[in-house]
Amino acid sequence: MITEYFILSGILFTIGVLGVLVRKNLIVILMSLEIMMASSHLALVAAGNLAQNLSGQIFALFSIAVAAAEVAIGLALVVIIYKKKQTTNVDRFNILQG
Amino acid sequence: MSMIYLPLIVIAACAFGILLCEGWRLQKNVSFFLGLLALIASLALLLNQEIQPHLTFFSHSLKLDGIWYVSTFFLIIISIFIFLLSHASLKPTKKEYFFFVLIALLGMSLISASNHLLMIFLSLELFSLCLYVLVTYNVSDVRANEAAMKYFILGAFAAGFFVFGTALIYAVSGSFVLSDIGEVILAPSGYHPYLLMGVSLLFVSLAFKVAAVPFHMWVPDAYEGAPSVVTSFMATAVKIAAFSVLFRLFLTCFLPLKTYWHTSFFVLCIATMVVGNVAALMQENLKRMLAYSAIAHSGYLLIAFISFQNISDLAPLHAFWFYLAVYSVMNLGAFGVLAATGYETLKDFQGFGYRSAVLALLFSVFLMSLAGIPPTAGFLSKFYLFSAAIASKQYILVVIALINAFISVYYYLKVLIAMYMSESIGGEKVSISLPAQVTLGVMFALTIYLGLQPGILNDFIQNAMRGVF
Repeated sequence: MITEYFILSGILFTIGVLGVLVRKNLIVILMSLEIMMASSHLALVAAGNLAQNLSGQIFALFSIAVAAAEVAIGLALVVIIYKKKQTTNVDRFNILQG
Repeated sequence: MSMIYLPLIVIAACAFGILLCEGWRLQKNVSFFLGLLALIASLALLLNQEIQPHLTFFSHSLKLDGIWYVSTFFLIIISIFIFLLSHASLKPTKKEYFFFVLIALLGMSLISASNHLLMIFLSLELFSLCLYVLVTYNVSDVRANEAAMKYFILGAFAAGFFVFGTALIYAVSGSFVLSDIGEVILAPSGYHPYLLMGVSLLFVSLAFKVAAVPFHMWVPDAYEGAPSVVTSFMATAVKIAAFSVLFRLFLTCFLPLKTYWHTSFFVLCIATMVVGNVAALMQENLKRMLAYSAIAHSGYLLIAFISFQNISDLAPLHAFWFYLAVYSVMNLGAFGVLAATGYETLKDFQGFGYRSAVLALLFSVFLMSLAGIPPTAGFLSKFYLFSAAIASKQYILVVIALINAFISVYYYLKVLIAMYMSESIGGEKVSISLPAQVTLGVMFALTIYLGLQPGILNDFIQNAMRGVF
């Protein structure tokens, strides 16, 4: 039974990774990062059920809080950049290269 | 029993004290002096502690052993000089700058002590989140915004890998404590595929943090866009923190799996040295050039992980910590010159040797040390590392590393040629403030002194590392 959870979270994690690598819109990239985190939380809770202790759930709770803090900074950065460039397309962020 | 983690409590308390001071709109300098006082106090407390290598705290989540002791010692000293440099070069127009530096320091020190995967994750995020903010500290600077955005996306990406890898390891071991995981690894039942996948995901996530190729893309951009002081903080302190956790995970807990991770470390090590050095050849911007050189130095440091065969021969590890310390000293100096002068490109440095002789001399010594030319400390650190690698028969690695060291001389010399052999583009003599002078002077003294008298640092490292294994 537990294996299915791991397969599902693996699929979700792959979707997240592909989203970060392929998509061009900053907001969508942030969403993909959240999918990666959420899939990891699913795997953690499933593994906690397998191990029959609470550590997995506790890790997931901590991780949710950290992910919220992270996305707060991420969205703040998006707002700053959008004000200057009027776009959220990552291809337009090309001042630094080489 | 004395509280061995007291230095960390002092740092945390003063960080929040600074936040209060700024809330009450006290003078700018108050937070600077309060932070400096906290750093010096915690350094004194740290040096008073006896290391107890087998004691763990807070239900096995912290292990304050030699790894923690050495890296916290380095980190606190670096932070003191970062404070001085920031006071000199960055005009903190907005507040909370020193708060973020202290909290980042706290996270880095905690990560080097973490004995629990949750603790590693939390402290990793604690210092990463502070650094995203510090990189874009000059909010009005478009380049800094862009740098922070790129750093943020790849940092969060790496954090995702870390959590997923942790989940897979936990599924096999049923615990997050590193010693429990180590026991599961040692059990003779063979390795579960989840365990190996989890370890490789953790490796990818930490490779992002230590800037190993091919996970290095954020480094040049983030280093170039950030204010120079923050860049020197990132190049030195973050590297120490990331390498200390890599050290603890792969050389203590995952050491029995060495046959599995040996090849990937080997490939990454060579790729990191080659790509870092070759890309640095083509840079006109010095911050970017030093960023690629920092990547190349990560490659040299990875040699120690490969040369380490068994716990009876600790020479690669001592060489590793010595290299990390010397690397921090010379990079703090080199980036410190950029921070103090405000120069960035090769063009800015044309004829610099005739405008500011002393500063140009210091900069040349730092660059020569980075290139590994005697009698500087950079030479000795490379010598120790490579001879430890030869002792464990890693001949291919040493040959490639030596070729890379020769390549690197070219781009470091390019700066010296610009400073001494080209017409000055005019511009007046650069004068830098007293705190910056102190910082650069101390770094210069250390670079020369450790090159001639490495004994003190070596003894310190060997004493602290006793009992880690």
